[in-house]
Amino acid sequence: MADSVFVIRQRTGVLGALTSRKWWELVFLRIATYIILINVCFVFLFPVIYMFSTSLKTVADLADLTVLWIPRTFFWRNYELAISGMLYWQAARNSIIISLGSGILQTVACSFVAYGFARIPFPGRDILFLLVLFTFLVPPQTIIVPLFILYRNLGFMDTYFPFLIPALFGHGLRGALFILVFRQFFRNLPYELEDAARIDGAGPFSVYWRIMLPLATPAIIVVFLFSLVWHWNDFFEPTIYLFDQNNFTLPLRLSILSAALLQMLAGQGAGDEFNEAVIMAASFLVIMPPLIIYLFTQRYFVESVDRTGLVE
Amino acid sequence: MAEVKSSGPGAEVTTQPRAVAEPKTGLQRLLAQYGVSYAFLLPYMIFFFAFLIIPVGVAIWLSFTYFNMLEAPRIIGWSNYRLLFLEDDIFVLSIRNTLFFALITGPVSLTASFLLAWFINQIRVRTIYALAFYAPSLTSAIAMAVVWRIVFSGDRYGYMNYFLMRMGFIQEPFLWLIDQRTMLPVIMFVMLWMSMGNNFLVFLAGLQTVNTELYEAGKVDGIAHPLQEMWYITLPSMKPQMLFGVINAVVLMFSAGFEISLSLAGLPSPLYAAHMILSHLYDYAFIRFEMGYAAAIAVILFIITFGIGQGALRLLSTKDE
Repeated sequence: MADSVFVIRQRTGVLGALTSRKWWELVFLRIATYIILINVCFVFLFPVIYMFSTSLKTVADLADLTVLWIPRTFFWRNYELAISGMLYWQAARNSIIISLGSGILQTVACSFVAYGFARIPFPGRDILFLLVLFTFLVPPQTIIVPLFILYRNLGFMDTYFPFLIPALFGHGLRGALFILVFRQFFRNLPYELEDAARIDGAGPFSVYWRIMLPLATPAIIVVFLFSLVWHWNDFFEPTIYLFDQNNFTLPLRLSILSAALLQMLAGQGAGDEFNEAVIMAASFLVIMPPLIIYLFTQRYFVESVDRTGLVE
Repeated sequence: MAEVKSSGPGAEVTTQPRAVAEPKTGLQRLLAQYGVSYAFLLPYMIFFFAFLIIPVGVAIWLSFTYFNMLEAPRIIGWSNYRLLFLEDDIFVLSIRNTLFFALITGPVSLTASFLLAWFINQIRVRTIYALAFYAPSLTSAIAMAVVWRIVFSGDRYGYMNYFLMRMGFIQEPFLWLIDQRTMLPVIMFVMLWMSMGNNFLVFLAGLQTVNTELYEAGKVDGIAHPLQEMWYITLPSMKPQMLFGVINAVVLMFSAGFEISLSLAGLPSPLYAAHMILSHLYDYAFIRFEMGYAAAIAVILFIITFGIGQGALRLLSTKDE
């Protein structure tokens, strides 16, 4: 299987067109390609690597220009400071509630709605689907003022409802996109499965829940992970709906970290311990969880994006 | 054939209308026949009207009022819009900044990530690159700002200054994040770094779905060069992914662009050189609490994004959608 794919690629791709060249030209091109790609990779990863390396530096290492990538000693105290200054565990819990909750609700709701759009014919379906696409084109920021007033009147300020309720109804961050992904996936599944289940007496809801949803695992992985990461990194909406610092998510905590650290350390007479390495440590703690999740699910993830054939 | 009765009356609902004893009105028949279909969409539609259509309406109405959150809104006609376009130079500047930002970053990001995906698709070891290129998209703009502030720091220890001075391009350290000429380009650079991963992944997936028979057919029709192949076959087959990319980019340009601007240049940025429409909206809505004025800004923003989105849909939609 893998071989045949490669053969096709060789015949049709750039390298295939070059087969008429001399062999050393080919080898040279290969090597050049990989060197360029490794360089591009470095450009992409540089800020993250730099962040991690700096986060472990002592004050002396920071000032020393000869210490470029690897610090003389791994100074984990930076991480201790960052964790206490950010109230990391509390903020992480808030972030987890919002991103995990929204992720799960969005996945379920969007797949539910998408199944309706994909497999059940009814009058007005196309018009309604156009409306879904319409939500695509309304950035949440444009209706933030009325939403703010609405949520305030509902008493949702300083709670997680402004994130969870939209997710529950299949909206939330880029909900329309997820509906599109699921709809696409459901449309490509064979109809025989549904027919068989229906003959066995399953209603539409149990066909959806017991037959279609389990088959949609690739789409679920993609949607859930996208949703999780986007909610984790979301900054705009939490700044607007959350006021009490105890409810802050990690990105919000990060934005007030310098002030918090100065205040904390001033009392202990240890102000010079606060430096950019601590900020780096804190930032790394914020971006690390999604990176770790991606590192482990990356295989399924790329495969799933492949198989959902997104918005085909 | 065991007909299980317990599963409820919904079983045959989509295929055959129920046996009707007496004539029903159109609506009743519609509900009886397609009720389940509508039930699937109900959650979405409830929210759609309560939290989207109504807020859009309210935003438009508020834009014609003076509203400070304490007193009841007072209708003042077009004066918010008049102020916006005739008196508020900063708003006009923010539109210019945002359009400049979006119209350059969007196409560049899409083109670059497509070329990268096309390139990577030709070689065999893809996973590691997919990993590296997607990682930036997983990071939070706010968290990465710390690094960018050091890379573009104004003193001679900032990476950019250090590098350019060593290569002899500049003599003096350059104030990247304070100089009004470079502030926006720096933000655009950071945006490109962050936004390419998503599109890259989607394009890479799309490239696998292109029908290989098309390439064979193309060869018969005289397509010789790989670049021709890309232009005439690969690109048209990837329209759906392009649509996804464009719309995603539009959304990202407005939200993430503001976050990067906020974290790198501050609000307000020096001389408003990195002021985005969203910065202006945020300023008036949540710092000055002039909600009527903020709503007018939102309406303008809505018209702009809607225009771009509609254009993208028309340009890239397949017959199917």
